[in-house]
Amino acid sequence: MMEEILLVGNPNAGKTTFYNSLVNANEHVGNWHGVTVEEKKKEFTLNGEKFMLVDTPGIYSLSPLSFEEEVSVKLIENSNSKIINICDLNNLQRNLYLTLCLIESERDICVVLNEIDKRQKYKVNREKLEEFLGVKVIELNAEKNFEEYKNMAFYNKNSLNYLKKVNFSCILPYFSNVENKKLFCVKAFERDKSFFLRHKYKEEEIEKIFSSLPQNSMEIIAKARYDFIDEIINSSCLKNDFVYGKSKLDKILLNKFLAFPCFLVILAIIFYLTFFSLGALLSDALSSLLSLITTPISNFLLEHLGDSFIYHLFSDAIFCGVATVLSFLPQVVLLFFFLSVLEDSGYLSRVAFIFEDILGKVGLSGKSVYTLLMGFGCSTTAIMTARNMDNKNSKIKTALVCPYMSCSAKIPIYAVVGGAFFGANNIFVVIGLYLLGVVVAITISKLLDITLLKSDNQTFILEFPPYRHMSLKRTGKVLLENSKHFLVKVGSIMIFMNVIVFLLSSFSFSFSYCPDGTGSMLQTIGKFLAPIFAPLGFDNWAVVSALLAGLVAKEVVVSSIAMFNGIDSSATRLISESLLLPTSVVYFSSNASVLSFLVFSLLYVPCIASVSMLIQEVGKKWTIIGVLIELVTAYVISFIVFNIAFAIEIFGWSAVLVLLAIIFILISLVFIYKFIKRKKCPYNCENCHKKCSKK
Amino acid sequence: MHSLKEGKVNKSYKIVEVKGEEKVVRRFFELGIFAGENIVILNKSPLKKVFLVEIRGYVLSIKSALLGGVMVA
Repeated sequence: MMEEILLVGNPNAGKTTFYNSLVNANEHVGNWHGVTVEEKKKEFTLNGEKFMLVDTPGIYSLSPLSFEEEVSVKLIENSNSKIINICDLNNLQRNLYLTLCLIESERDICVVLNEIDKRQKYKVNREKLEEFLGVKVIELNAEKNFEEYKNMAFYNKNSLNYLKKVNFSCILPYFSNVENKKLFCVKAFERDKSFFLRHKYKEEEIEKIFSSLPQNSMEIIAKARYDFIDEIINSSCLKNDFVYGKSKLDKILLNKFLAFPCFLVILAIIFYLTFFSLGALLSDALSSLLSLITTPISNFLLEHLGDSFIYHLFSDAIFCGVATVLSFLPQVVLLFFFLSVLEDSGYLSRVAFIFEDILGKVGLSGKSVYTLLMGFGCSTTAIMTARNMDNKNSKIKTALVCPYMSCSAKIPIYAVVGGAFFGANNIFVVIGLYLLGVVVAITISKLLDITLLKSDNQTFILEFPPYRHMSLKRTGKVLLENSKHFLVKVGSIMIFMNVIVFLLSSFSFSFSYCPDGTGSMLQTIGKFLAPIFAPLGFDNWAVVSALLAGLVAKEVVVSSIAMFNGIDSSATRLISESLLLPTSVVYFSSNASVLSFLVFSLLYVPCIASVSMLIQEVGKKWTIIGVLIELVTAYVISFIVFNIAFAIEIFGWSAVLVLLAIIFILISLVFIYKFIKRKKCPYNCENCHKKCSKK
Repeated sequence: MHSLKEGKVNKSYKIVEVKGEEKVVRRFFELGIFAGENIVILNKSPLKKVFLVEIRGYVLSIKSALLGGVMVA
């Protein structure tokens, strides 16, 4: 078996950048803590010898706190491999703490000082550092002088003299027949139980050892290390007084009053560029480019096969699917470009900081903000950006609730249907719908948080990254990787689903071809399902079929309505007017049922593209759950909205308000009763919270 | 003496004592947060659940609930 070398270092020290350069891989890197969550291995050659390089999640010491840290520590402790210890030059003190831990474990290590983004005035005397640490030290910039890596060497000549001033005598008797006394003493002082369990100590023995320790043993050992680090820094580094992660820019961007306005402005610009100006321009350009290729083929097919099934399969299903996929591509590229800029610059960590406690309350993370806001543009592409989140459960929650953010493809539905029935008041209806979407998203996220997807609150201490210049090379790689992923993985599912929906909408159940959709499976299903929607106020088959067709894309809802009403135009005004005619096939019995239809359109499955994306990003299981939740919430909330609106239409505002007030009072009474009856916690502990284990 | 949780923004404090849950305290020590060090609160999140603190020349974001055990003067 090939010899392994572990790549170890603090979070955000640049391990993955180094790994990518060394093995020529393209793993995701980011300017924040915890981008690497599992180990990755790849072969590399050092001076003619072949090794297996293992990238590990970042750690601060050999005492793990979170799951990711445990992965690293286990990898380190279960083997005797050589270690490359990456240290960020900008934050050398804290990085050296881990180095000392590794040295104390008697491992052969090589310290690599990561020089990327080195601040001016920071100079290290490499030879002196080597002398102090007793291990090989190299300075390296993965982007400039990467060839330096050939000087790597692995040894450990540190005699741990800095631990001399710690008085180990209280526990020394326990380790009289242990070969490696110092390591055991240090581990005892750190109260590292798992270390002793690994070395076959029994629980009682460990208890006994720990009880002989001075009370602040952990502090003593940490202080001894930091004193030594101070000594190293003072004599081998040129002092500088900048604070890593602190910036004057934060005085504005994290200011109590300015933080939110700044954030909104930045995000609004990104939103506008991605979904409207630049994004739309690129989408149009791509689709006209595509039609240059597909139109001749379609025409050729039409000429030779006539107006047949094959022709429609190609021109309506496959080409149309490809066009949809390609029209999303500019959005994907732009969304990831801006995300990468925000991420690399360090601003995303600031955004996460501003939103962490607000979104944390509903089980999301601060970084969900980007995905959720972009969801107002397009759910499909926004869901993809959730892959950048560090916590798996928050990632799934964010991806599942993102579709409730009313995407821009739903605007035509609001405009045509709402516009027809509500006229000038439609603006209030639309605002209400957007708010409803946000409220539903928050509620569902909270429900998921307390049931299926509990957030594990492990990331309570995080390093705060500084603002950095972005690297074009890295951004380019991110864009290439994500576009490839989108086109190949998501695109293929999207085209496949498009073909299925095409088959459903152009074949009857007896497999005869129905070119204009009359009698197709989709329409039959629509007619069959129509009674189910009676409680929601619209049991008209045309309305239900339009909703079904809307699964392809929300724009199709409006074009279906136009088709059913025989309007051969995409003019909003014409379609709206046709809805009000007594001859309209698409029929709503009252304004309440229109409202209910709009709510249903807002909340049900956004489109097959978004479902394809969910399958890719969160897996089949969560996609099914997500789609079920979408259908159930859409049905239930439309039902409630319809009944309230219907009651208002019949009994008038005042009666309904009185009724709602009575319901509200009854619910409050239940809560007040519970509040009075609740038992008080007998322990009066500090920071007591609801899930207090001592209850 | 009071805990850092009650501290004010942009004020430097000297740590007197660090107490609390063992694994959290251990992490604090590893990060250089122990008696004798200076610590500055740089910022608080809108609901004051997360603090940004400056310690030993770098910045950390810490859930403020944990800072109840960091006693400062």
